[in-house]
Amino acid sequence: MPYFIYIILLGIVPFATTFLLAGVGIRSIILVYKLYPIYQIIANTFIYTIATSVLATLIGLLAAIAIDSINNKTLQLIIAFLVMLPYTIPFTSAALIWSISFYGPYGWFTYLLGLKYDPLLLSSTAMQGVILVSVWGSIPISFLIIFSSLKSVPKEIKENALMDGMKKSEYYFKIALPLIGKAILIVFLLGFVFSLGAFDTPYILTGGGPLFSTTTLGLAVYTISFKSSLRAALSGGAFAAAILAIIATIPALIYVKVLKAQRVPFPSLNIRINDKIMMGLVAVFLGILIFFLDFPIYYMFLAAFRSPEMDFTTPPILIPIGITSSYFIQALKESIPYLISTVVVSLISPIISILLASPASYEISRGKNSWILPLSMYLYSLPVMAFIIPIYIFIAKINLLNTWWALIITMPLYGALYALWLMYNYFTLLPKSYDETAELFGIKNKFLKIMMPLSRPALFSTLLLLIIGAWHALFVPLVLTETPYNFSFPPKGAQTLSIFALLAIGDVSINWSLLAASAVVTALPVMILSLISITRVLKGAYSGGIKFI
Amino acid sequence: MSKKYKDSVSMKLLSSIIVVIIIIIGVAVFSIYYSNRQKISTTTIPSTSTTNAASTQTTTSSTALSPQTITVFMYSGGGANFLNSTVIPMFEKQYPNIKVKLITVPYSQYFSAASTAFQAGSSQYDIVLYTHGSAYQFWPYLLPLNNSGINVSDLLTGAMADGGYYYNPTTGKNEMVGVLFGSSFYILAYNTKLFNNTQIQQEFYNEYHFSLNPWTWKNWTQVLDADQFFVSHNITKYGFLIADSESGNDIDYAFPAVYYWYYENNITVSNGLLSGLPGWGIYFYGINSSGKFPKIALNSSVGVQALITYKELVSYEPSPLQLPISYDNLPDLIGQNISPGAFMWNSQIDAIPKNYSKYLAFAPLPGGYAEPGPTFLGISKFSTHVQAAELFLQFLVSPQVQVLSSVPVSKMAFNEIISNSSIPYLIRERYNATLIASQKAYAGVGTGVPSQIPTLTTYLVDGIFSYLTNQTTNPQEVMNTITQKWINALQAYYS
Repeated sequence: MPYFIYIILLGIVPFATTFLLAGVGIRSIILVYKLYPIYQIIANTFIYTIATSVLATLIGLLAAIAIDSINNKTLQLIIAFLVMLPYTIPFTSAALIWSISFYGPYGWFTYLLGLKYDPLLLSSTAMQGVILVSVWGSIPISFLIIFSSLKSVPKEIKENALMDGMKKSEYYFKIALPLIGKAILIVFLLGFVFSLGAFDTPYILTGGGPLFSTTTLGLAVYTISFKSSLRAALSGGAFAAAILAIIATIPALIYVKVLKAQRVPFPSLNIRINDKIMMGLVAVFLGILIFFLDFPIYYMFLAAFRSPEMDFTTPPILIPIGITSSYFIQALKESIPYLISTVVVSLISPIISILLASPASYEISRGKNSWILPLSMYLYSLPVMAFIIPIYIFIAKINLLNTWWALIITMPLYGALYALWLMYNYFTLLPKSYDETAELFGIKNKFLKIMMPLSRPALFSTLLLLIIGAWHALFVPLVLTETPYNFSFPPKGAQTLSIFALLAIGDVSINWSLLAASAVVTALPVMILSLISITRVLKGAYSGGIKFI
Repeated sequence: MSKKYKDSVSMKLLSSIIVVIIIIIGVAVFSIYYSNRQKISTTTIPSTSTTNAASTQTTTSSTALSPQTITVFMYSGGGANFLNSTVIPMFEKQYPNIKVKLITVPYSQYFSAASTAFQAGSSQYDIVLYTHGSAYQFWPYLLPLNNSGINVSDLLTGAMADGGYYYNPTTGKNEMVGVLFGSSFYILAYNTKLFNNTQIQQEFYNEYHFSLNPWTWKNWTQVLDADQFFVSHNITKYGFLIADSESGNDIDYAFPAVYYWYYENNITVSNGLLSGLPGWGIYFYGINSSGKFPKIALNSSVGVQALITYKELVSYEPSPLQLPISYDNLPDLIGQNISPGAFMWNSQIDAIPKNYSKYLAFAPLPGGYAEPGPTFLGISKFSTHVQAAELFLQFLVSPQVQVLSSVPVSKMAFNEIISNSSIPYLIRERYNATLIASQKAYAGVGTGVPSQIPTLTTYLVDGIFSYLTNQTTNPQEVMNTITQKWINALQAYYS
């Protein structure tokens, strides 16, 4: 019940109100849509969404197969870590690093490609740059879900196939692929719906320019509602949010349907490659992939710990020389108020999410109120822009803007929806014999007394993932906060580390050291947490507690 | 571990979590209650102040006002620092009944934060800052200040006219809704170590036959000659730096600085209106055949020649595709001594490394004008501390306070600084240059229509950037495309 009340108040009601707002001020809406190139924005959204979801799924799938095909378990784990590293970096830090990696002859990426210009500055190449960064950030989670699913294929199937003389490539493409088809489709659909509401990456890298070439619907909601000089712009922004919600409904409903299905038909591909050649290809593929995924992170640390003059040379200096910690220390000092807000919000809102979602997910797994699951998955797959304007108005009206409470009240929504899904998957694995035994012995509060203690691994893993998600959050803090924590009581000011990192792009000129140091400060705490949670997931469903599919 | 122990641990954990949640809810409720109590409006005894337009002293007595706190909201930067470190302590000392709370946010977030607060009808801010470009957003939410006791005649006139007044269609009157806060001007800054060097002066004169003194330059061709001289003689790596960044919309203020010369010197377009067509600005002239909006000057010879000149200026600095010059990086770049000077906002002087800025002097743009970049403070119509807010504004613009500012808005303060021989000569000369430039500070887009329709700026900046970066090479074609987009947007807006 608490869960249901919460998602009604913070999810369904704001979602419906968005449409109501959009219906008001129709003349303003018409004006906004005459002034903004709405068809270009919708086209950008689809290009960005399809490219990101297809590429991230494909590369994630190939990475999962490649790593699973390695016989050495320790090596598997190490390479899996390396593939997951971008997941540990908040989007704002990632965008910071890529923005300096693209800097013409001074950026390592453009230098390696022989580009003498920053691709984000040209309307013909800006979208490719934004898609590249988005794919970079999406590959890890695609890999993680598909890899977990591959790991859950019974070992005997693989052993028998290989003993029967099948090549590894045949096993993966003919047998394993159809078995994990549901995971692949889920990954694609999740990637699709999340990319549909894309905001962070285009906002940070290009602001939607040049000339709207990277403006997506998600970004348009923010730009029109909160950055436009047009009066009554909230109606125009609400309308963009409504369009986005309608478009997102179709993949969201498909996603819910696929989630409920036992299996999803997936083609079996007849690919037969000699094992040695396959492992050779695996080595080359993983080498390129790991370089692509991890070099930007290495460069982030490199730039953070040296003088800015060394960042502004051509060819770029890629080895650690001239090390200094002064910029890191300066960024650390300046980040303290933001860090405090982030810690408070990132610890409290996931706890609330778990407390709301766990009992609800248990009930759903036992067949009660099962309709809440598809409703929750639908809400989860909608972009946050579909809710934010009414939430903003509500928070403003109760004078909680720019406070921790604004974030603590609103941010558990996505956490609770995500936790419901994860915990539901876990509880469905839990043998019903526990319930039967509890009933037999007349144990009251069996959820608290039996299920919760048994679920400790899953709860802990879910909590870690939610903390990471809250740490990374940008859009909600950007809309609901104005200033950093002011060390007063009652606490005022709630800007988080993701906004602190954002300030570095706006305010720092060619001092890339300070910019990179801000990115490191923002990323470092959650990198450690992410590594712990990734280990738990990679170790397997029971000991890690997480089952995605 | 025994089952009993496990159960008790689980129960304790759960109990702890529940206690934490209860505490959080309790604190949240208390905070809401506490912050709502602070919003109890204070009724004030009507002020009996009489105002004298020539007076430089504030005349309202704060003892007539009950103890209260006014909130000033602005973006972070030099102006906020001046308020925080200087003005507010002085004001609170003089008026102990009134406390001033300053809230700042980064520039990139300020306008959206203020806009949404207004749209929500919030009374959390008493005084807000706005720029001439954002005036259109703010005016409807500000109180008229015509009878506030502020000495307007002492304020820099040109800058004040660029956003301080709002034509209220309901009353049919021009209302003063903002008081000048910052008087930044886009001017020419030059390195006196180079320009006062007699050998360099002589070499330049021998080659180009006019003086190297920027004060004497009458057009942009002379600036280009100076660029060519410094670069070809390897005196500096680049010419005068000028902003050319697209992502920060820096082109939006750099281009009009060049454009204005061509506008002013084309009587067909300007028609003698030095500050542009009223309500529309310098990019418009005459009357459009549709009758709904004027003709657009961008694709006339004025706009095209300005674009060509702007590109030539940009050719003497790093390519905008590799290192765009922007408001953010210009101070650092100037400090690297790679150019003879720059076109910059005078308020940026404090951001330039001191070992270089101590040699920098100012001059008006070639032709003797400047581009204004004023900021204003207005009183929110939702404010519950109007009289106290008016008192603060009176105090802020008084000469005795303005003399302490690096960007004063009071003419008397300027004159006092210029005549103070204890201030280093070059600094006084900068103030003098700013005061002179302010008298012909018309080269701005101002509060005209382009600032009201956000996409117009996008089309202009992106179109110009495509030309600067050789994505399009025909300047007439570029301006025709921009003009057509503007026409489409204006037709939509006025339909």
